[in-house]
Amino acid sequence: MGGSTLYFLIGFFAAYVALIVVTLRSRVSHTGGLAEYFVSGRDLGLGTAIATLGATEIGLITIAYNAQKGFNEGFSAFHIGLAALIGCLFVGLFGFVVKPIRRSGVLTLPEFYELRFGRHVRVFGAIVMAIGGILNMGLFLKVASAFLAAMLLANGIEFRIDLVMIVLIVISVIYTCYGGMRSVIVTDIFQFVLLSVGLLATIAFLVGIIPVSSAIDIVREHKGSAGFDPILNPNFGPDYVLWMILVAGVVSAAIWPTALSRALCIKDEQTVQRAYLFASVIFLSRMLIPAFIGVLAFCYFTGTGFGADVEMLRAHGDDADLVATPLMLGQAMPGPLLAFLVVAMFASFMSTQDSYLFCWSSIISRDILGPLTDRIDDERFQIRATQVGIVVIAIYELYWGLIYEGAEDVWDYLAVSGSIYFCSGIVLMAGGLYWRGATQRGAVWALILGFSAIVALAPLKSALGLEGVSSALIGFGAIGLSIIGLIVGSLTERHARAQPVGARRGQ
Amino acid sequence: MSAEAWINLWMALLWGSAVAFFLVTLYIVIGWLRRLYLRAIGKPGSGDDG
Repeated sequence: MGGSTLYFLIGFFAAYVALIVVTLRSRVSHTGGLAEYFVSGRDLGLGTAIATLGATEIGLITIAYNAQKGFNEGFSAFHIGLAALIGCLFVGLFGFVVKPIRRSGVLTLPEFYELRFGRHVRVFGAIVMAIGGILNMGLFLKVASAFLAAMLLANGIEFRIDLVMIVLIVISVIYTCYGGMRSVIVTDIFQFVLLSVGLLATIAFLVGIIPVSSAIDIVREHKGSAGFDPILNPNFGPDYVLWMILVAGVVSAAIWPTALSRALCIKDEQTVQRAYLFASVIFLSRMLIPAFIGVLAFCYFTGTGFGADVEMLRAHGDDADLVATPLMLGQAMPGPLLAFLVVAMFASFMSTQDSYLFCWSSIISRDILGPLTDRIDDERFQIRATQVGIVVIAIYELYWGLIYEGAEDVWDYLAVSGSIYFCSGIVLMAGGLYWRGATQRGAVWALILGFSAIVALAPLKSALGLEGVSSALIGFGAIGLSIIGLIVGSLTERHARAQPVGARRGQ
Repeated sequence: MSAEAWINLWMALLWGSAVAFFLVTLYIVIGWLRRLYLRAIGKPGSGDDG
């Protein structure tokens, strides 16, 4: 079985790489200046915008962490999808942040910080953004490798998955350096279509083996009400659900730079809003469908009569919850469908890689190196610095994926590391766009205090003796501190400005 | 909410999202094929750009 799957896999992957090479050669232009390289010429229509918004937020990592949540928590993990739907619908209905940021005409988000709060805030904000974002992608390689290796091994295919992942990263680095945001968007569309077809076919096949009614009975028997009710589930609870509406919904759609940077590429404000309205369905599906596959994996290995090789799962020890879904896929699915799904996952891994590599390196070059060397509008410098940044971040990712030893679920690591940026990011974006009284001092204080979210990372949490405090509470606390920083800093600065010069000098 | 009510909610969301996901994908693929067709007959730029 493994041999024929491998041939299908190699064939599908070769076809995919050929497709992106041919398409990129015809679509990438090197004559459009900074706007072409950084925001794809701002020409995205509705269909492309929906695909790229969806694709950047649904990748192999999304599948892995949601499947893990579904396996561990049963149907109650579905609340994360519902939270994402509510948050993204809110953004789509009201154009929260995304419409005014598109109207501002900036190329990157920290550029808006400069328009609103001055150059120091742009550089400082970009540093916080880059640290949070780069830490966030640190686990991508490790998780993706474990997931794909388990999937292929269960089907009898053994090869050096670490080398395969390095090849995928190298391909992503090459085409992202070559075409900038245009490359990112073109591959997003292919990835989105491949993955959605693969996931829907997978669900159709799996419910033929494990009927939904059986899955409900098995979850009820083993997890009780906590398997359905996120409020009752001790690993979730009301604070976690509220945290998800913020993180998986509003932040993922309107604050997280890889998604928000898509709004900067769309042709006009109205299309931005419509794209977010459509994308809210994808924000729901991206959480819910993989979580459902994770629930089915739980039932596959826990129930009887499905033909599962339970020993193979037990051999993975503490990682069993992460690899259960790929093991089920590898064991249960026919070779050609499995090969197609693996290639769709290769594509989605590469697509997430290109989005993240490009997003953080463009912020480093445009908003840190550019202002510090006074070369913001130097096109040659900006593009070269972004390309170097892409390579350096890819190397970091290989290193961090090997050394980080956190205790949290993958999704919780992503939420916490992301919160290092977004706890202050949401305050600065919303405060800057909707409160005229916000000032530079307030923005700096908000950035500093929002950084306190870093204590929710597992190693720091245990070092500070905060194991009993949930990450959600720490996140809300960091946002609260950031809001206080923005308000107090802004009011004191305005008060100081309102004083006569002599009084300010204490004369 | 009872467990049954949660189950009904999750099932409605699951199948609703699967259908919606399929329709959005179909919309994108049709738009893409339309652009290819327009380009092939020499009328590029009439469709969704990007």
